Amino acid sequence: MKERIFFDDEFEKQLREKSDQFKMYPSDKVWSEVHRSLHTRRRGFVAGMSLLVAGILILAGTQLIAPSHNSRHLQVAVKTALQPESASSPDLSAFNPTAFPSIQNAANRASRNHTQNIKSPFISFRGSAENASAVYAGNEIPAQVKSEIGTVPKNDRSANIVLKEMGSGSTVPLSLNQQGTNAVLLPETPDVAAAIEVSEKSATQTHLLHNERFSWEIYISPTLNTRHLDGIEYQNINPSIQNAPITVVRFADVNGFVDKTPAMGYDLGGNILYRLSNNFSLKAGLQFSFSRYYIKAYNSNRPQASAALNSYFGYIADSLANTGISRTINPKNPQHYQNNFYQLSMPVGIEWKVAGRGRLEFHLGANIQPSYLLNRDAYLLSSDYSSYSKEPAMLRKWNFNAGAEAFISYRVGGIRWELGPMVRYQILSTYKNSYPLKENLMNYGLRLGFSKTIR
Amino acid sequence: MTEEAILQGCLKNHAAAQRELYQRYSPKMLAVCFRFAHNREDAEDMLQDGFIKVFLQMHTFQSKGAFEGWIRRIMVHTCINHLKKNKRFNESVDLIQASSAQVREESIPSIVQAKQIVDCIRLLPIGYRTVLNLYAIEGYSHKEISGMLDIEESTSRSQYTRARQMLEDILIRRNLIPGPRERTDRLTAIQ
Repeated sequence: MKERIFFDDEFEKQLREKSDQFKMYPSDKVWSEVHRSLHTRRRGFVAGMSLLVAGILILAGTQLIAPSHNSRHLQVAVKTALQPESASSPDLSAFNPTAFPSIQNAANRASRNHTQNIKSPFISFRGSAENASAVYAGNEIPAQVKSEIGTVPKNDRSANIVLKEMGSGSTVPLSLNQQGTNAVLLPETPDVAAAIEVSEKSATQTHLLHNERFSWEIYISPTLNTRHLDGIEYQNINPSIQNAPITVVRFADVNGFVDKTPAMGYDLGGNILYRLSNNFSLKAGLQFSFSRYYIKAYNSNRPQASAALNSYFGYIADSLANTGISRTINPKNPQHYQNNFYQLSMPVGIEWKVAGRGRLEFHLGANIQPSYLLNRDAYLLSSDYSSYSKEPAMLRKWNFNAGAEAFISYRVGGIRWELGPMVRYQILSTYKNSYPLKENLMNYGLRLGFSKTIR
Repeated sequence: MTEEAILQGCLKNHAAAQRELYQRYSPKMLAVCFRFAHNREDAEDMLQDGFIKVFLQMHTFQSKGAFEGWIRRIMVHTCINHLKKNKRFNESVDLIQASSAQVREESIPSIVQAKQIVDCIRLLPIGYRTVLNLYAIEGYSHKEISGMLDIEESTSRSQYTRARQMLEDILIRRNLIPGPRERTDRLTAIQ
């Protein structure tokens, strides 16, 4: 703006002076919007974390609903019962399975029991029924599988079942014995490389062939939340503001001024585990924590709430002045407020299988959790411990939590259920370093979860 | 907290410093916006947009001039853009041509409150008000105003003359300044 000769006359000068004296106070909404616009990283972070959580949940859901998702699906068709072996077998793809319900049931049973285990060692089946051959991944059949080959004489077969690979249309013959409980992969022609019986024993062995180091878990922990407060240490306050008109309680324990009744919260999260050895696993994941505590306070006519601040920028001593919403001491109008904290964390830790083998196991775990505070509406205690006020700028966005847990696990089917106590401690204060009162949140509760191996 | 510390904190995107700056200047800036705006809600919208610009363009501030003046210029431009966007002032700025009004040399008694003056300014049609705000209160030249509002410089001059005449009439009607007759009587009494 170029310099204009201001105030051409007295009227303009007075008009400007009067207008400049006028002030208006904007509503709280304006600052909220400004703050939100300036700190959009938080929204990006929340969106990113939500995507990750959604990814874990989708993975978990997929594994639960369709455990063989990453394996090939096989369709079971039934070849004619007691069909004589012949080099000139009919084309199996034209076979109608509905004509043999009893055999089909047996086949279904067999497939239910063994499909997942049978299919895994094979990567493709070539040719028609006459020259069907099974090709093992890696072109070599492991010894424990080989040992099972050919244990069932051909004349024991009561039915031949064709496993048809979904999508590819290729087929492989599978045979049932008379009880229909054991499925046997048999060569239909002499040129087939091997026939493999997949019994209960071999099914277990086949399991071990897989690289099952990864698993996932989902858990929820109802928690009781409390906090530890360290009062303002007068000698730690910057000397330049020790004479400031701010009342600082020098000797009284701050914990005597506040209500520390635990309140209920919860943790909800998911982890991916990587098995380092039989006893140790690394795990990392995402966790949403809702924790809170009660504030017993009393309504008042909005007192001034002052908080002495430690040095802000450089060595500039400062204080925070705000309008209190409630007082800690007053015989009238008791009110129950609560401070709520919504945190998104990324726990990274280790799990130790202390005891147990098979179904029942006992585990210990520990983790560290970089955390991000999602809300900024917690109350802050004034320096004289007399009032509460909201000051979002004083809350620490990023924090660290440490967690520990002990749980017993019990395996039912493919799912391992976990139950045991947990504790979570917030390492850094809820408030920034510039606010001299230190508050560390602590949650303890019961953790209920389940985990499943990723195959 | 000193202004220097606040500015440094704002440059580092510290929320505490930003809030401090906001609390320090928002009352005055909202009054600026309110003089331009149609109502308080619009004024708060302008204030919000203006402060976002202030924080985002903080690095462009050179400590040569007063910081308040820098913020104020951003606010004024934000208000003008807001008015243009909402097409709130074109109708009166473009259509009403100033008559050859005679500008009186009145003075505003010190007893008159700031709010009364602002209320009177807000009674002007929005086009007049905008030109009066820019010229008489914010100190822009007619050439600058013509560029800001996309009008002729002569239009800005005539709009201002007319706006000032109307404002004086309003002030007289509200007995905030003496009317011509009272003034004559007073002068006679002095003589």
